[in-house]
Amino acid sequence: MAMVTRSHLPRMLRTAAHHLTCPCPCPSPSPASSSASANTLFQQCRSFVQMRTRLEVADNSGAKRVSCIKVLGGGKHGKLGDLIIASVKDAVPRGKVKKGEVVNCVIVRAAMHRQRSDGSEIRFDKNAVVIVNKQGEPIGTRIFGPVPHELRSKNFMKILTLADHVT
Amino acid sequence: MASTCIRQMATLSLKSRVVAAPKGLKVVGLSSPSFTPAVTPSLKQACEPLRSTFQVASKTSVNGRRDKFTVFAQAVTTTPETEAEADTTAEATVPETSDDAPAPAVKSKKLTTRVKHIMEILNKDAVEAANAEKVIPDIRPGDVIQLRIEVPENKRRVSLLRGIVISRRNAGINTTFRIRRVIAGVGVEMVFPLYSPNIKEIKVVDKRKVRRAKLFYLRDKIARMSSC
Repeated sequence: MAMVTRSHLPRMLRTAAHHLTCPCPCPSPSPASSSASANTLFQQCRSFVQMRTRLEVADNSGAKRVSCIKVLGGGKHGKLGDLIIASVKDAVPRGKVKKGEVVNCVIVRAAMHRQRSDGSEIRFDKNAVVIVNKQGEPIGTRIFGPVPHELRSKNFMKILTLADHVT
Repeated sequence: MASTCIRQMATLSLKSRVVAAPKGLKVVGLSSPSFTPAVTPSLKQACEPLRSTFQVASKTSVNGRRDKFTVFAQAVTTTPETEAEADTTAEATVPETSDDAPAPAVKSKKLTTRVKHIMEILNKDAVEAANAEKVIPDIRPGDVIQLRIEVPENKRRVSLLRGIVISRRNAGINTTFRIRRVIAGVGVEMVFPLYSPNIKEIKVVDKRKVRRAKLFYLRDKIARMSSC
């Protein structure tokens, strides 16, 4: 049985890295993380956004990928709709932000499920952010992909109007 | 055998006066029909020599107080011990006479009137009440469904959601189902309680042939498999 678990661990790591862009591929996630922790070796390990989490950028501000350096709001874990501070890791040549810049972002898609007040849940396949300024307005002019209703209560109205699909 | 039988019958007739509810009490929940016809033949068969004396008693005790075997979800006037005793006597004799009893030919999960089954019974009532309000179709994994839903974060505007059901988790009133859809290149999964009042309408648009109860493998597949 120990041999079986060892040989499956690399596969687990590969699938986790592919699905999550999360730096914690180990089968023992944080205590507050998703319900998949029961059968972790053969299921996805979806966890919160935290420091060093790589996220996609869902707008046309120029950045392609960012790495979270701080979750704002005093917690260690970032969920859907939270503000984070991130460092741009990958950017297109002529964009509004450059590689290495420190930017504020709001998480618009999270792999970790987020519960709603009526008992429903929503979750996305990948983590994604929209880069915003200090006032909460997006720097880019277009937003790609679906965006959840949770942003409404956080007063990111501009993002909701720019998005092509609000779920 | 006879002495125990007499004692059982005595306790049954005594307890029936204590256990049975007054007519004014509202009866909620199920009455298990399998009990009532089974009791009379059991009384007959269990004590042959005392049949004449107890037939009369049993008739009044059963017909007059049929409420004995219905469930009171609100006011439990009976103590668990008396209910348990009445149940054990009925249960002990029911298997003997299962072939004799004419009505209950179907083997079903009998919810006894014990207090420990209260949650099950309440759950069943809640499900029945939800079903009475609106028609909820049978949703299975592999169905492509369309939901009209009031999202609370959306200021109560009814939105349309579509997706393939990838799992259904049965838990009485907390039955939930999970929908998956690829929207604008991104896979989105949503979980909804089946009996949620926010769901205004569920319509099954398509059925796909699947050989699983949980279609979580769709997460690893190409986007076209989850798009609908």
